[in-house]
Amino acid sequence: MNETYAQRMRVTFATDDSVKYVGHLDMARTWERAIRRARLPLAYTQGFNPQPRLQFAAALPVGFTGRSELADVFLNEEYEPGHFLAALGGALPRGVRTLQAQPVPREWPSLQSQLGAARYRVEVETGEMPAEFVARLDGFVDRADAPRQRRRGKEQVRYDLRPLVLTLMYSGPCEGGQCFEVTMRSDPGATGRPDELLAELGYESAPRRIEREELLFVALA
Amino acid sequence: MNPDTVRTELPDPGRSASAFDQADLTPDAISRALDRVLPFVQKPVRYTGGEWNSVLKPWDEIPYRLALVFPDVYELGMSNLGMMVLYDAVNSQPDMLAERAYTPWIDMQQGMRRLAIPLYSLETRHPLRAFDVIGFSLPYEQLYTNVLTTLDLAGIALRSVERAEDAPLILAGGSACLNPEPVYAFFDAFFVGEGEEAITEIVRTWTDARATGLSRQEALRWLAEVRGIYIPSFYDVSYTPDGRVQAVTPRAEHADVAPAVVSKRIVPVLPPPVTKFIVPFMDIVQNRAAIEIQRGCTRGCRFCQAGMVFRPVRERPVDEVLAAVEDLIRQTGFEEIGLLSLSSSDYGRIQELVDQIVARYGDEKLSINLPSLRIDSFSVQLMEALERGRRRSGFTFAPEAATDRLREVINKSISTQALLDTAREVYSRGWPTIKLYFMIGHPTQTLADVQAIADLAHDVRRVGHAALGKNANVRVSVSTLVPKPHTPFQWAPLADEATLREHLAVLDRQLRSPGITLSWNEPRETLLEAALSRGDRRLADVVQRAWELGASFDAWGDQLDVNVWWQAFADCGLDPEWYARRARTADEVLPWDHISVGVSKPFMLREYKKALQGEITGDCREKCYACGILTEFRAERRPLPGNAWGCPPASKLISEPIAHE
Repeated sequence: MNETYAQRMRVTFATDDSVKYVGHLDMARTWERAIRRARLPLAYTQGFNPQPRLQFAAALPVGFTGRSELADVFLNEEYEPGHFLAALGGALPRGVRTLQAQPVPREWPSLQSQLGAARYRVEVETGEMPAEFVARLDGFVDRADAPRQRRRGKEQVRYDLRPLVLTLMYSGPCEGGQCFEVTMRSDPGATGRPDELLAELGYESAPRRIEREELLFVALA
Repeated sequence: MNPDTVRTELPDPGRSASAFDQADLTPDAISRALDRVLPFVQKPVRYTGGEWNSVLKPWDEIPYRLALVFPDVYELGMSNLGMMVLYDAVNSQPDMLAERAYTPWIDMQQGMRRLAIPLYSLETRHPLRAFDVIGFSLPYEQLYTNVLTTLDLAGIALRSVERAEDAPLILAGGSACLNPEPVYAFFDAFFVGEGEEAITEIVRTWTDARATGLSRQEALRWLAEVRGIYIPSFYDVSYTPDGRVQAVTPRAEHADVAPAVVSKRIVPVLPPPVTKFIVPFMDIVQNRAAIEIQRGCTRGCRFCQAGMVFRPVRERPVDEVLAAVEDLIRQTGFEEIGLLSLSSSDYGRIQELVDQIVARYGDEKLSINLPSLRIDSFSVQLMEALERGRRRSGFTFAPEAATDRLREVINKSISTQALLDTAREVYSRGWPTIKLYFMIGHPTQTLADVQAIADLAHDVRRVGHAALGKNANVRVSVSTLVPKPHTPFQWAPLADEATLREHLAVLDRQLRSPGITLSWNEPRETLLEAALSRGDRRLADVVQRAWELGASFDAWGDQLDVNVWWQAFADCGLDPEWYARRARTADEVLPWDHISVGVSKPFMLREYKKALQGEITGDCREKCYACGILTEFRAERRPLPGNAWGCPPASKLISEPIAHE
């Protein structure tokens, strides 16, 4: 990045049920406004239509909560992380909670480019017993491929879901259903979505709760 | 979503008040049920609340609970400043809470009906039925059917007389209830006038009355004594043999509490502006915070309901506006702030206000929106100051008529020459677009006046072309005059459809030209608006019938089906043309005569007669034309400084007796 700014602050944050239906672009603007309310000197891109210098590691799909999300906030002045967190934390809506802030070197690659995978906790409503449910998960793991279609813009794209699922682990029963953890590829080349996996498992429209627990990076430096 | 499929599914069997008669769901149960619906609807964030500056109070500890409802989708309702003002007024009371609800879009309605989720508030997700008072904001008539949808989704009987003894008070306020009669049956009470102080009094009075064990009916009698409250069930309406209203009179048993005429209530001085504006997550219609810099207008345009009903003019001091701008930026982080009034150029210290804002925020990423500017070079200078260094999009002017003669009829005096001079200045300073608002169907309008709209649009475009070449364009927007209650034109008929179509055809033919675009309202939709706004109590059956036949979201062009409405009129044996297109005589009892906005009927009649003679009435800041406001509100005026209102000092009152007509 050849543009000027004083500090690149990496923020870890969590989002809860009250904001899980906020889309990614709306959430980005929510951050921009919160930073303005916090009177933090957000850097903007140069040019005719300046954009806020705010980069999220990965868009959180609508309906998901996030336990440990990451964003880089570019500032025009240097801040002590504690002061930064206090100011920003008090200006975000109640469903977004900041956990940690840390300045990172400007030459580090973008969060997005380093993301490799993401781990999700999925609760799905079902009347199935644990053994049947586990058999269903095992059945997916044993498959050689899982061809699916996904809409990208106006066209249908065919892809294989199976190699995007890196680990799949039954967690146990939960209220009204069953719960599992899944780690899926999530890199610039391919991103697996747990709701696609649910559909493939036969739970296309079953009520569910999905939390992204952790973002896994190739290397952060 | 395909609107066609939606419409056919609308009158589904779930559409009755009995759908939600089961026990009320708790907020937690509602939240759980929502997770089964929200993943499958468009824009789910409309239904989840949690926005910055939304107020979450401990429900069980708060004795007075108000649900504020704007009966259209979230993005429209959230853009309404009045809702925000009332929300703030109630929530700043420690023992009260106000929470919001909007009408869910059709996909969400279907999901809620399927899972029997009652309409709930966005803040604590309590069913609307659990509130003490449900206050509807009704700024326009096209929301009437959505009121019924909203009540139905809340599990509340549609008609006041059918309502359960323990149901909340169903209240309405806003410009579309200045003639409350077409929806009289659905509301227990209406509030007439400016609600920011009255709302807490209303909620307290009702809730206290119920808490002391009074019945619904007895509590309404308490409420009737609150100034500005109209309880429609306390009045009888009689009709002449040909169907006109003969009289609206308080019923004998309520005449002790129900006034013969309900007068609007005002705030003598504008309360401080709201700065804890709710900041939505999603894009809404107006993506900005707003400050009302002035209420009312002294220009006296004869078609303009707002100009009549928001009298007297009250200005907010410059210092208060500036402090509010600062506070809004800190509290909301919005990138745009609108400075609202009916006529910004008439704000006494507008130059100073603009200069100060530019001095303080000129270098920040903040846009200031200043609508409703007069057509003169002063406006151009103001906009130039505000938009310095920013991309220039467009300039909007509302001459409303295209000939000097017709502008005298409507009392909006501005010469064609002045308009062209201003247009030249706008284009030559780099704005590529001028939007021009006109109306057709004004009293005394002829084809020549309509032709003049086309000629003027071409003249403006020519001026623009000289300055900017092909980039210059004109957007002409033509609406049809709906003669509104409480305006001097209230006696005038809506223009007949053949004439309107002929006039629109002339414009359409002549304005198909490079650099000019034309938009207009469909005459059938205008007929519906006119019939609803000029109607009497019998229209309540029509509104309900139309809703039963599937009418909803009538303010949405792609949702409105006027044929459903004509069917509803026919089913009720009524004729929309009779309501909309019948000229009313001076001695006719108008269906809204028992509601007073403080402007006297003799004044309005005088203005109507002057209109027909092409005689103008000046700006009443300069000279008083005895509209009746100062008489009506003399008690409010007395303790205030002489310049608190836009009305001139008493010495400048002209002696024009009010009762001589």
